[in-house]
Amino acid sequence: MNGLEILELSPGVTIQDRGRSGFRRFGVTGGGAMDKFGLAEGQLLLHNDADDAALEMFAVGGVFRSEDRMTIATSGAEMEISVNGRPVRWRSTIELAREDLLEIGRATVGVFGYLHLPGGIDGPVVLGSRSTHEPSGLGWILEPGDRLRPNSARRPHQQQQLPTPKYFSGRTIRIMDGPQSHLFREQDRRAIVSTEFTVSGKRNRMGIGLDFEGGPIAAHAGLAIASDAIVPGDIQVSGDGLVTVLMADSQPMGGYPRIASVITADQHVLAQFPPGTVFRMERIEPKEAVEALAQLEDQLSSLAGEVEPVARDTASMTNLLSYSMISGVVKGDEEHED
Amino acid sequence: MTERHGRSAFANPGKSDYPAIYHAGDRALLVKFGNRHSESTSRAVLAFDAALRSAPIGVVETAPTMRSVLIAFDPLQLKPGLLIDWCEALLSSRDWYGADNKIDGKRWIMPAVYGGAAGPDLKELAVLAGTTPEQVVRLHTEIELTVLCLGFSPGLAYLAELPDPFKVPRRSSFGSPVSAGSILVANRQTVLPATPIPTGWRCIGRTPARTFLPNTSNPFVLSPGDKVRFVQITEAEAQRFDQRKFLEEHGIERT
Repeated sequence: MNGLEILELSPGVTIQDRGRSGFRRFGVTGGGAMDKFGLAEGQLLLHNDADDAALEMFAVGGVFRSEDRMTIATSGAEMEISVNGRPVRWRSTIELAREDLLEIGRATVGVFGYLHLPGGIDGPVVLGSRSTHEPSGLGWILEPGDRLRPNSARRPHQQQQLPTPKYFSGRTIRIMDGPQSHLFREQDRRAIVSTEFTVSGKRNRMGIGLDFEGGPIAAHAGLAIASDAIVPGDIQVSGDGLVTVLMADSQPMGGYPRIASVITADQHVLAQFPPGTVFRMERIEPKEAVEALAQLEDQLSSLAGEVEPVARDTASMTNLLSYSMISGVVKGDEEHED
Repeated sequence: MTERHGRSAFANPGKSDYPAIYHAGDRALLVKFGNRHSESTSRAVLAFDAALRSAPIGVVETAPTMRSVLIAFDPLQLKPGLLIDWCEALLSSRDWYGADNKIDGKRWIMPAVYGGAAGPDLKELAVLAGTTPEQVVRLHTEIELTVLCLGFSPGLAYLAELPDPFKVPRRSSFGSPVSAGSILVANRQTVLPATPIPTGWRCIGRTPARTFLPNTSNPFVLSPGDKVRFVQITEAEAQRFDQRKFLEEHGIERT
């Protein structure tokens, strides 16, 4: 099936789905989309399955050439985007014609953006997932010249869009104590919920470095522990006092103590903080973390109700033009594969 | 404060405070059996991990480490409190550290080339251990090691417990990456990476056996609890190594 040819690619662009499960006992990282809410948005716009894979773009996207008529969608962090030089709306479906040039530039709101193809992006399934895990070489390591192929030729009835979700403006990250919290001094356990943290430039899919004012945070029992299990969201304090939130691609085990863990429901919020973002942490009980997770699931379930047809407003004239021109061509010969 | 069930592990961490159950994020529990690796701790870890095969629906996966077992679960399907109660009942059902907790792992005979290009650090390790390279090889091949856990990278196995001469620390910095199958040693353990990794562990040899086969129905050759004995072979014998035969000899059908 024809798809998108990658002409230019920014570092940090990977294939991601919901990640790997069941192989942790063999040393395999879960991985998966850094913003699973953002991933789900695009799947909804294209009527894809929750397990389908998308292109995850970190801070900057790339340049793509369409090999055929195709409906694609974008979600997650808002990025500069144009088709044949004309800007189009983010977080919506886009009709591409053959030989269209799709350019995705810098992220302007958030950090991790997603590009979706109908039925998800095809690609090798390794250990139950298409997710790229660069540190261990699992999955597809993308290069310019590669082709992204859709798993389906399905096309939606009409152009759809979603509003910008509220979580991009969140500045409080909820945390809970973990298996090594008691190794830290009480003053440090207090400090992490009274200190303003700043997202540093040292961040990738493995972890997010945090800067902060004030004295160093240190564990009682020295800074090295015997290796123990890591879960995504763990807030690690290394020997030199560096504070890092370990994220989707972190190793399954590590020897630095973790003072607390970012709850699952707030991990995508943190993942989308650009460097320089100032935020605070709030300690909650495990029970509250599970309630927050249930709320997030509810939000995802109700997201379908927020999908709306792309507005034909004059404020986005280019969007209007591309919409009416292309939809006029598409109507009447829609293909549906379910 | 972390929710703590049973005896407190906070006041005075030590063996008497274990096993202890902790929340590890909102989608996992960590059951700690000790604050470091020991033979009895790893016995408890592997026996408890094996017993978790009967865990309630909602448990997604379990993974042993050198001193704990991680239990990943879906808290929207299985209430954390119920899982904690279930774990506590299981923990109190027997003495997990006891010598009668035998693990039924597979037994592997792993061919290995020692020294030379396959094990560039063999001589250095022998000097640090106050012995000869020949003696290092003899000690490394005469003992049956247990796969404590896999971690750090896909299929990378931690094996223990080597005798005292192997009580040599890791290097303080990482060297250039070592290849899959490298036999690395430090702290009375052997690490067997299944993919190329950067490491500070000393490399004394290499096995031609592949332990990570990503595109097969049994991608991971070694499992926690398996037993491994290394046998010395020559570089020429390594060249003739037959992966299919190796798997078949150990009861694994090639797929």
